[in-house]
Amino acid sequence: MRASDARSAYLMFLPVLIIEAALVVAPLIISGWYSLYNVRYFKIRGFVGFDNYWHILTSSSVLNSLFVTAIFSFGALIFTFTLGFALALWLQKDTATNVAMRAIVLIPYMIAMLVGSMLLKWIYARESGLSPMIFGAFGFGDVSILADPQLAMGGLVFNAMWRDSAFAMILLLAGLKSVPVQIFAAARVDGASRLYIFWRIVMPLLRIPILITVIRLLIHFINTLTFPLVLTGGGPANSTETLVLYMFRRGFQDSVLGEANALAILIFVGNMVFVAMLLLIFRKAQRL
Amino acid sequence: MRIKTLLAAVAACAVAGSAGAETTLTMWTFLDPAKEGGRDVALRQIIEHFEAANPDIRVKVEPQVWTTLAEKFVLGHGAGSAPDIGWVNAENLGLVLNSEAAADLKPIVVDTWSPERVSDIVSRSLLDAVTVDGHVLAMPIMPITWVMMYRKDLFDKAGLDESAITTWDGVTEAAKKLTLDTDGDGKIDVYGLGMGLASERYSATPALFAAIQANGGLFGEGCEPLLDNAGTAAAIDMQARWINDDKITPKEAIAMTSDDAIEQFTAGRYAMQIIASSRFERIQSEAVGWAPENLGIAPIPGEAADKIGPHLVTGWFAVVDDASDNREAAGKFVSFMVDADSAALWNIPGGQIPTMRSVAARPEMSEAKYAHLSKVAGFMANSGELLPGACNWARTLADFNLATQKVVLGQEDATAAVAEMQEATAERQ
Repeated sequence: MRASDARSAYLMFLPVLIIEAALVVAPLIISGWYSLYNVRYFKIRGFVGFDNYWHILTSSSVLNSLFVTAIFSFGALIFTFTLGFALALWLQKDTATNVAMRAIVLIPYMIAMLVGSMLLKWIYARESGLSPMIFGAFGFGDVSILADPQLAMGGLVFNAMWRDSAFAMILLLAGLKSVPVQIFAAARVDGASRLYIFWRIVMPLLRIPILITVIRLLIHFINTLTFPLVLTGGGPANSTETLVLYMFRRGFQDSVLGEANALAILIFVGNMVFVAMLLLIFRKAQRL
Repeated sequence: MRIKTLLAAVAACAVAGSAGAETTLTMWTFLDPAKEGGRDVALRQIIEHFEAANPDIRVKVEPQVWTTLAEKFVLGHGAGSAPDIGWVNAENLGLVLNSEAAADLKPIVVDTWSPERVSDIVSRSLLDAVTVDGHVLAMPIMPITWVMMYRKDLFDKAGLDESAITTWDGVTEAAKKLTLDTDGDGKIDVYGLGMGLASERYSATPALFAAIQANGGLFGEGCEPLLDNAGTAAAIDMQARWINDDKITPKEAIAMTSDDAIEQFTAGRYAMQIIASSRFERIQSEAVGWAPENLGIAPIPGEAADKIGPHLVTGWFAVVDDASDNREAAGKFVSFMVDADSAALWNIPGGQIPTMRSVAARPEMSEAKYAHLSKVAGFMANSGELLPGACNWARTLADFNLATQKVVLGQEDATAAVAEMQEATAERQ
């Protein structure tokens, strides 16, 4: 490559770098800086070093939120991914019915998160919602989903699955479409069963789409605020208060911004660690 | 000669310019004078009257979303882009009063008032709560308080009247009589007492008022919370007992926001509920399955029948940016916005509680359609109480709900729950 070509390439790349620096790197640095100070009511009250981090790491509320986040994120990931994958396999062929079904399945994903969560909240409500009618048929008519800690978490996971399985379906369907049909035809000629084709052909060839889907979903679930804020409000008794909801409350309701920024940094690091771990796991699986 | 003429002309222009100089005040509020709502019309008329009396001052309103007014004002102060005047709700006063963004209104507003003007204010606590170290940092414009709203028709059927709910014990007994399975299907159709006990989009619930009365307030010196005590524990226990033992409130209340519970009340599912006074007309207009005239207002119950409970006052306050170049003019407008003539406009057509005794005593206030405003003004005058503006108490209301949730679910007893409340509230100060 000539020097002038390299310079042109760097120049073309520069706008993206500037945008990334302004919208991602700079806020991260500012957040990290704030996390070392006692910031209350939008005012810096003094340098506290790592006190905010220590306070977070020793807080029982944060520990509870960490546990809640883990349950929600992995529960939502498992159900959303499974349903998304099942839909992708089911609707893989481009028949008229399947195209129509794909459009129908996409409807929850098209609805704004806030609106979707509010709709579900009304459906879950025992006093005025549809859940007594639905659960009543199974003899559970008097159940109050949102007033029970376990059921509220189930409702939250369902909210995520209901909305985001269509997104998983799109990503995985794109992966399935990229597999040459000749491979499936050859496998069938060789007498391979459907299960064999799935495990030995589909899964290995979909490794990258699966990795992308899992990482994208996991990061989304760890960082989502709308579902718990609108649907359950973190309750009852903090049983659905995720880390991000706790951070939101500390920052914008309690006005303890230094601590909220420290938690934001820790969540960011946690996200990075998760992504790195998933990449490692998939790389190892590729070698097997 | 030409130069002299030119200089004279420039000087003349400067003099003319300064004579006609106009100060333009910017104000951030959730109201919009261009709209036709009662409060919007009141603000429009107040501005027109002020500008007519002060031709050299113009008031420019920049309507904002009410939920972010306080944050935007404080951030704007830091960035040098705050308006001259901002409106702040009581729950967010702590944010403004602790951020050094608000100017002292004592010299430019309060000190300009006559003693008669001061004594005309309905509740002196309105000013006390926003006075920090002798500095008056905000001015109450639209006070709101909570009252016990109840269904007169259901009370009549049960042989009850307002006097039955003057104490919390009375409320319990009345609610038991009012909790009914009206269609005989084995399920309760009307609960005696409604509450919204979620930790998000919350409001004041009975335990808060019982605790304030038992403890003489929520905060001591230096915003030290007064929550970890037997009085607060008893108040939390009372709320939990209503759900778990007395069954006068549905268990789902622990997952209901304040708005959810009010919707249920409006739909006829509850016989009584503590609700902000400002909701009265809206509930009447949206009532489903019951006549609007059956909506009654009673004072907050107390410990004993002869003394009504505390009426926690919140609402909207005006603050002046401490960095504003127009502080004097801004103070002048703020003072105008809360004087007797303006208070009359906030009252009618604004539909707000009278803040001045002279306004409350007007003949119009004895008309049936304004009876509720007059009644609420009476409650506020008798037992109105503002929490200290400099203390961060907004989420303490949610702490009361969280503590009740834990006790209802059997996760903690009330004593442990109030200890956590104390710690959480203290941490926010």
